[in-house]
Amino acid sequence: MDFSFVFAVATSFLALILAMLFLCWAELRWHARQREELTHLLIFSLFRLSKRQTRALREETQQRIARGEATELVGEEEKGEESEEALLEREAEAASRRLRK
Amino acid sequence: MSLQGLTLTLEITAAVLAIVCARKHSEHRPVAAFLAGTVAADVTRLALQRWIIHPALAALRAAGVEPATVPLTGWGRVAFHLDSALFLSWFAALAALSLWLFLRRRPWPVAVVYGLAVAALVLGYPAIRQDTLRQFYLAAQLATLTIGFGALGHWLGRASPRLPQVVTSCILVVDLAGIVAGPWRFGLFGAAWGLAQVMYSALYAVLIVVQTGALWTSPSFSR
Repeated sequence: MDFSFVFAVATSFLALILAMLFLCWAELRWHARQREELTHLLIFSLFRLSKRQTRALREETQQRIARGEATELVGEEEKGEESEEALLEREAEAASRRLRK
Repeated sequence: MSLQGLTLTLEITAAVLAIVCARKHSEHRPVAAFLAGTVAADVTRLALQRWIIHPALAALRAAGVEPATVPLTGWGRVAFHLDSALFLSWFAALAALSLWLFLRRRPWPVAVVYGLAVAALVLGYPAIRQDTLRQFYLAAQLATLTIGFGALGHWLGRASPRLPQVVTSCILVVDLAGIVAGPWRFGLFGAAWGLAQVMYSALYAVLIVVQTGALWTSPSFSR
């Protein structure tokens, strides 16, 4: 019976220690998961926002170019010198900057 | 102090600390209710055994009848069923606590199953006693551990462990250890119940330390 008591106490404490270690691991895993999810969320949201806005802006700028308004917005010093693609890029970047603000 | 007295003292201390924690942090209320309910059940069981069941068994022995061969009758039987119901309440309460803390599920299904189990014990008497009763309790213990560890496994990694979850996990692992090295292995009824008292004493001592530490680092338990 003495051995049983020692065995019971040792098993209980071992189980409790293992439970504590396991919970510590769960805590660390939870934090790691939170960080990972946050990073993914940030990257994903920025990427999606930028892509969507770029597409919208590209369409809008193409319409404005078609109407003859966009070339007037480029700026007097670069007027007529910039290609259509560079113009689109500049407008998209400016829009992204505005959105991030 | 006897082993039973030591276990009860540690149990009451752990329950009081849980109530103090629950007064500061409402999320600890289910654990406080569990521990306080356990104390109430254990004290009632002790009273039933000391003043009704044991005298009834002694009367049978005095009449020259071996209690294991004859079922109890009258108040002795009522006390025996109450004792069984209170013993089963530990399993039901632990399963309900696990479901609520880990899965946020209401414990009504557990209450229904508990009611059915108690009814089965009462209606199945005297067929369900001695070794059959031990198997019945073992089934309840295994079902509780399955529910508890299932809920714990589902919850792990989904939220940060806080004091109520830590306490419930400790209770679950000590119950599991009871299967390996406790009374479930060496005999539930009789002297081997002392093993359960030793294991629960260890559990309550750890719960006292953990809850005191949480109170010490209040106001927000772990963060």
